[in-house]
Amino acid sequence: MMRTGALPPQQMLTLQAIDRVVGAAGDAMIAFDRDLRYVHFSAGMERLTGMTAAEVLGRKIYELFPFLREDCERLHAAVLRGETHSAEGRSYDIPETGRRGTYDAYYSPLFDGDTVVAGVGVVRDTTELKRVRQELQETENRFRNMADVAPVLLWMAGTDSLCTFFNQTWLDFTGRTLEEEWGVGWVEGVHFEDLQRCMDVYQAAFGRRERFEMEYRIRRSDGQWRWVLDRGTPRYTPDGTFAGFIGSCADITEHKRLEAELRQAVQARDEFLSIAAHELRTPLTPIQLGVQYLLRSEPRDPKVLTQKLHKLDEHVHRQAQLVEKLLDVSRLAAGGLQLELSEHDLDEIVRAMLQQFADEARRAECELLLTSVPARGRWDRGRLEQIASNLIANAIKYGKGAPVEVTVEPLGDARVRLAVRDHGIGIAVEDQPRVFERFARAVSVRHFPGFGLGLWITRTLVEAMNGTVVVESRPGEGALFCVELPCSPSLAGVISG
Amino acid sequence: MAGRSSYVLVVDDDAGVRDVIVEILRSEGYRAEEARDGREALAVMERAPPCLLLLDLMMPAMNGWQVIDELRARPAGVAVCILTASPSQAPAGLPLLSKPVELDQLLTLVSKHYPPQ
Repeated sequence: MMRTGALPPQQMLTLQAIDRVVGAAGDAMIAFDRDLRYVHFSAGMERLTGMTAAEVLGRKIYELFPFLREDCERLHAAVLRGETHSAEGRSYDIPETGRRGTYDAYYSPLFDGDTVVAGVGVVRDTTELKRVRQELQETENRFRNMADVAPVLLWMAGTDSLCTFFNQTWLDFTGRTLEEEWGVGWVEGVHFEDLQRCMDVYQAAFGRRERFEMEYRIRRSDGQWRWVLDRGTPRYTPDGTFAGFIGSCADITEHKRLEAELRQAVQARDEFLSIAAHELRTPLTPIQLGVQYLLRSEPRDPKVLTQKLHKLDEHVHRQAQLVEKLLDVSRLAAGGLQLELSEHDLDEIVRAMLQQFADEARRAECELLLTSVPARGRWDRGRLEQIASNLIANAIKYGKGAPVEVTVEPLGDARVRLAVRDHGIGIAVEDQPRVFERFARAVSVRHFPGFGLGLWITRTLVEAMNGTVVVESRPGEGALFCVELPCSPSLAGVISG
Repeated sequence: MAGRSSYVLVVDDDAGVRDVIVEILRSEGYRAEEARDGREALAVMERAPPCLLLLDLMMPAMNGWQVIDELRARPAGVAVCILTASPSQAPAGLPLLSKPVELDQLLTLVSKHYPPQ
């Protein structure tokens, strides 16, 4: 079929040669003479326009396609003057096909010697390309929208390991701009102690193109260091080309704190269990040996037998008290312990307690000195006895045989003070705040076995009666424990755990 | 048995434990002495080394581990048996009486170390 006409044979051959190349590339081609009449119309053009070469050859471009009039006056005319032009991304409605399409066109003059004899145009249908680009843009926008509202910190890096994207959550978290974080800028926010490890993991994972997980501290916008868990995954294009990494960071500071607390709690429980086992086995020893020796020796004298059974009974009683103490601790820790308040004299309670400790003090060669005046108030007698007993027992235990001074006195403001002072080993200043904590001990269990609960129980009970307990001490100079209680605790009732 | 006196030294900060062991050993015809902590024990041994030392570990003033260190530094040929409620913490290589103590074990051990009268 004749697609070319009204040109010298040499130019016609040239156009046909161009047409073959352009057609093979999937593009369409036209040529027009100095009157803007079509002198070539490729098969590709027939497909684009729905018109045949026979219909258009020899006719003016803008008569056939009125929407090209402006182009004809400007571009086509310029081409005929010897210039090269292009018109990209033009959208037209083609009446003959009823389709709207987008096209790129490239125009060049065709010479015969020095004379322009025609204009040649290559037309590329970019409708599909534009659609794909638009979809891609939409996908990209959707990703960014999602990324920016995601509750985690997201980042992306290119194949060179430099970061190219941080979501809004990240930027809000660090309080820095995308420009500041870009590339390796984000590294400025990483804690210097974690930096080397962080970079080693990151670079190694990049090198091997493997997933990675790492924890490090990063500075939040308020200046606080926060632990994050960073998980990175390599990303690939659909054809399998490595495209870099994408990753997310979650703030795990709170998680880590709870984890540490839990670990401490478990450790404290294990230590307590091993100490509890030790404390319960010790008083069991005289019971077991006593009973086994009774069975072996079979004493005939009922008096001897009764005497030995009494001794055993004492040990059993001591064991029962220990078990009771353990149960009390679990009750105190669980909360909900009820106080039974009634009128008492602290002076009288403390005198009675000192009587009970007389034997123990004698064994420890420790003199108990009391300075006391009546001090009446509404308290739980059993709990008050426990408070006094814990402080006196500690003073004897850690007192190195020196006198223990106990003072009871009313204070002016409807409060009373119980003070217990020893002259023993004392407590280091740094250990003083924690002696009131559960399972805490300021001295080695190797020297002073015990539950490490006495002062915790004391504090819990004192606070339940709206009181305070403090310690003053220096190592080697003994310790002074002061309990102050209101004479009438306003919160008569429940101890919270 | 040269250099060792024929008595057992019971070292424990718990009076109940000391009392019952000393009483049983004496009833069985052994000589037995007691000490409340490591420091007292070393003072007693200074006067005359025992044939057997029953040694608690966790004690104030001077604990069992420290007594063992002292004895290693100045060997006196005293047989040591650990008497503890925390057997997992006992030093290796020494005989052990685990609290609560079995009477048979106690008596077997003492008879093994006590010189014939």
